[in-house]
Amino acid sequence: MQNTILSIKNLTKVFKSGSIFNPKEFVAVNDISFNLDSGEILGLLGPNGAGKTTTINMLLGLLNPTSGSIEYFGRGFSKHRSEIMLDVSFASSYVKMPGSLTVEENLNFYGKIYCLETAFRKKQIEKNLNIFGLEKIKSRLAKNLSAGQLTRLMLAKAFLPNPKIVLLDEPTAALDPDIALTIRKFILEQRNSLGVSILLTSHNMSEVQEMCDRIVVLKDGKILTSGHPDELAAKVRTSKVHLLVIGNLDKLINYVQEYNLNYKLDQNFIEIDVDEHKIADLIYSITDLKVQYAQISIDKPSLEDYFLEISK
Amino acid sequence: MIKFSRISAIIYRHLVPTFRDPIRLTDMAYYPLVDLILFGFLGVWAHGSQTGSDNFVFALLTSIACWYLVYRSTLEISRNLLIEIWDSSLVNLLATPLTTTEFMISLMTLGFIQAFITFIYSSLLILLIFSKNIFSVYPLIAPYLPLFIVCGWIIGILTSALIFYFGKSIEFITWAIPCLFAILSGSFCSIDLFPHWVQKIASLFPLKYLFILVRQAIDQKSVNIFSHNFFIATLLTVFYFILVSLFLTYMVNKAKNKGLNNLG
Repeated sequence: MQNTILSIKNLTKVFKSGSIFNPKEFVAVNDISFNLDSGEILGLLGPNGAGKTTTINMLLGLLNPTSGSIEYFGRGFSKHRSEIMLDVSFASSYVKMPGSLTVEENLNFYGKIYCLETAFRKKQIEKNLNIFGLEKIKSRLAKNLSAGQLTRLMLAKAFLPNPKIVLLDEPTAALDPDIALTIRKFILEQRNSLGVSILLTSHNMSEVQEMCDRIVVLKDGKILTSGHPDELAAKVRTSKVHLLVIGNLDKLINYVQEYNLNYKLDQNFIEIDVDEHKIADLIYSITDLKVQYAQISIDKPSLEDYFLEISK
Repeated sequence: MIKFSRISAIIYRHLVPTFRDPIRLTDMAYYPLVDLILFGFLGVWAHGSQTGSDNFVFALLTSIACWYLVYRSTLEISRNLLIEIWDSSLVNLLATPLTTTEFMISLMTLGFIQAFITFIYSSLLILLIFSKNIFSVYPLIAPYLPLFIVCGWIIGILTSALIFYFGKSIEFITWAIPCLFAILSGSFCSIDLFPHWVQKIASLFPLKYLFILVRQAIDQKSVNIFSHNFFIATLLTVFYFILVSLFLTYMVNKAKNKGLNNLG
């Protein structure tokens, strides 16, 4: 049985603005509830303005909820924030580290903030400098780091105290593909070996599909749906059939127009949107119409397709 | 529960850059020098000669040194908060086990350290430039010095509370509010010279009484901790410290309603 370590119940955030005479309200997060289990990687997805950042900010104690409750490890967050945060850490591509401290000093500083004992702190700093490829730049001031180096420092900081929960806001947004791959491997390894739970927001759908055990999709502050990434992707029934046609292209175009199928034509390349269950019919018809082709490929619906679908 | 490790971390985070940043070191050294030269020689000139008005100039210079106790302990609180905002590192810091109380205790400790260093430095400058040894009056003004530092903390906490809520758009208050209190405290001249209504306002704050006590200690060459002024100064300092601490808690909570992530 899974052990829930973060429980969010009926969480709501209403921002108030305007004047006394003309008050305005904006519901950023509207009555959402979900859990994070021990060792689980949960993705929080949604288009811009869906309420992801607002939710993360409430989970970090940076923002007071209007109503609802947050419980970490079975304890109320508002009452036990400081003790709870010893086991919860955070990394985001959108915030920075003290620029006037070196990479190593920054890790030392955060190690002290998390009350790590000197020997353990030194060991963790050394380990994380190596894992995140920061060893060679450990004496460089944080303000002189590139965006990718800063993200690696942020992640090194997040995993420094051996947290039980890590909240990651777009963790690989500024990274080169090879470094992003290393980071993804590291995160999965942390989960597999130490049972770290991770709540992740990302715009990289393939990353989410690869890493997350479960996804919660937000839209307009509400939970639209949740489930395994593949299950969600399967909700989009339209596949894309790509063909490089070398003969009877006009017959194929007449066919797709007759059956009202969406298609894109670029010289001899054609991309046809077709319901998954009708792919076989399409291929049979192509053969029947004696359409000649040099290449054929079928793209199954991905999480990105699902995301685009719900973002409409 | 307050953790010393976290307090020492914040002190480390701000002290390390201070002592290797020539701009911040210059800032610490330059302004006391300018004020001492400007107001010190103005006092000397106003009284004809340096030797003919020994107590007046001595009291003025000692008051300027004491004002720097207030100013530095104020500035280290509000400016270090601003540095976190300018660095866009405050969100990272507040997303840790660090509590507002621990953060403020750290900044107050930094204020104490910087105020102490500046006070010694100002005393040395006075000795070098004016040949006046205010080290000799340290025992006479010693009981008042902690109150000067706490007054600085009060102004720093007040300023920080406003910055927490309004953000860096009002960063100018970091320097503007202490300047206002420089006038109302009578640090550079006696409050008696001000309009009556200004004197009334100044009477509401402990600094006025503390600067009177410093001048009295130099004039009378004695220290009197049982005086009426000392009692009022202590009472007001404790009162305002509690008041601004509650105000800070209130403003941070209000700021959390709209999100501390907006700060940077």
